[in-house]
Amino acid sequence: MNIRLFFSVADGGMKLLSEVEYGDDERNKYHNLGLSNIHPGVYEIRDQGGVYCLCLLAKELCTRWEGRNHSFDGGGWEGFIRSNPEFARYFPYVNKVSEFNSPDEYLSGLTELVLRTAKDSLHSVETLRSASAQGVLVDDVIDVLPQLPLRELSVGSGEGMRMLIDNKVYTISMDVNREETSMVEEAKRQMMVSMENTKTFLQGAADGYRVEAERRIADLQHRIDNRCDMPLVSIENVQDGMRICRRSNRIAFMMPAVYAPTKIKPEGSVEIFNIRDAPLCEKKMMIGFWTLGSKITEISTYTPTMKSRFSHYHQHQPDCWGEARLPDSWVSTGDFFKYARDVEKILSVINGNSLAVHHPRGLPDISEIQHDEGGINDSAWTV
Amino acid sequence: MSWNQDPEGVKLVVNGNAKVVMPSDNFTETVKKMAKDAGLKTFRVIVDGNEIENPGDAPADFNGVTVVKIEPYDEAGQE
Repeated sequence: MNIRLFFSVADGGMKLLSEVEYGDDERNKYHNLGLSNIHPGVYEIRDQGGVYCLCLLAKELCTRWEGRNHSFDGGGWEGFIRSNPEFARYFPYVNKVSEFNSPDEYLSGLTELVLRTAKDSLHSVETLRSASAQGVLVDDVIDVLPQLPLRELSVGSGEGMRMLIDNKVYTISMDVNREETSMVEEAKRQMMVSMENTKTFLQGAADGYRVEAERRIADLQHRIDNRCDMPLVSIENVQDGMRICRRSNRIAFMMPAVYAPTKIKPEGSVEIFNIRDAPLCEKKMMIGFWTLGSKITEISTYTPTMKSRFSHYHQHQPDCWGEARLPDSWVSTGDFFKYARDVEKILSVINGNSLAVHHPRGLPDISEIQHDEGGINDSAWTV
Repeated sequence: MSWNQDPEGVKLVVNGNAKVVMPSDNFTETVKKMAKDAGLKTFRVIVDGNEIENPGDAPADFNGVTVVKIEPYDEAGQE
């Protein structure tokens, strides 16, 4: 006779639910289903509703009671128990069959044994399950294991936690896996959020540092570009009349010069003539070369006292230089002496086609030079 | 055995371009021709660093001259 006993173990209590006969194939089915084996012949069954049952497969026991041939070699139940003493405690009635008057009585006693064993087992299981339900980590569950007579423990991802306690194997395919997965996923999510926040913070900080660095670099570059170091002026430069003044970030090299127009291109003419009385037009002046760094940004003529601009035929405040080729950079202070001579040469030609002043202060009226008979003599080099 | 040595030429610079003329060449004609070829209408003539402002003061040839520069005038004014 094959008997299957179902016990409800919900709420920590146990109650015999059914007692059903079954065939050998059904027993194999339980094995194939991978039911958790609490101890030989007793399986833990779970369903979605959380009702837990214990299934007792009592075929061997029953066959023994009915006196049929059993499947163990070596002397029947007595022999099996002798050769496998670790099973003796599960079958305390094996040697007391004579104490029972019927199979029903034997099964009743056996059921009592199973219940007691199952309760002990479930107590340990419930302890872990309770810990799991409270949301503790697997590590925390493991922390309570030393309180149990644990002899062996293994945790697998597929089969949950397996424990060997007092020769009983407990498999807890409990929610630890799911909770652990959930908690791990949550931890991963929180970690990702934290990493993203950290990344955003670091990115923001880096951007801030970069912007600040770029601003400082630009500021330093601006200061470098606009620095105004006083030039090295030699005593010879000073002896030759060079003066230096500074306005904001610009430095002016004031060079002594002579305004001495010797040629004129009369109005409407393309020829250049020599001025007959050129020495009458000679006047001292100063030529100012305003610089910014190594660049010459402005060239102006001044009176020798430099209190006002020098009055000449092309002085329009500032000077009208036209298409004249003027120096635009300098290397050494000595360059300005040459530049002063170049500017003198430019001003030595009066361009009658583009006069700014017809009668500069202290100079002859232009009419006296270009139209007055005898004001000009032979032409300069012309082809 | 005698050596035939070419007479040393005179360097004539027009708008930065150097040419060589013979010392015996007519100074005024050569200078004006060079200036005209360079597209100059009026110009300065500087002989060994000294400007010859009046063509009438120019030498007859280039003998004794090392470098002659022909430069356009730099003129002030708006034009």
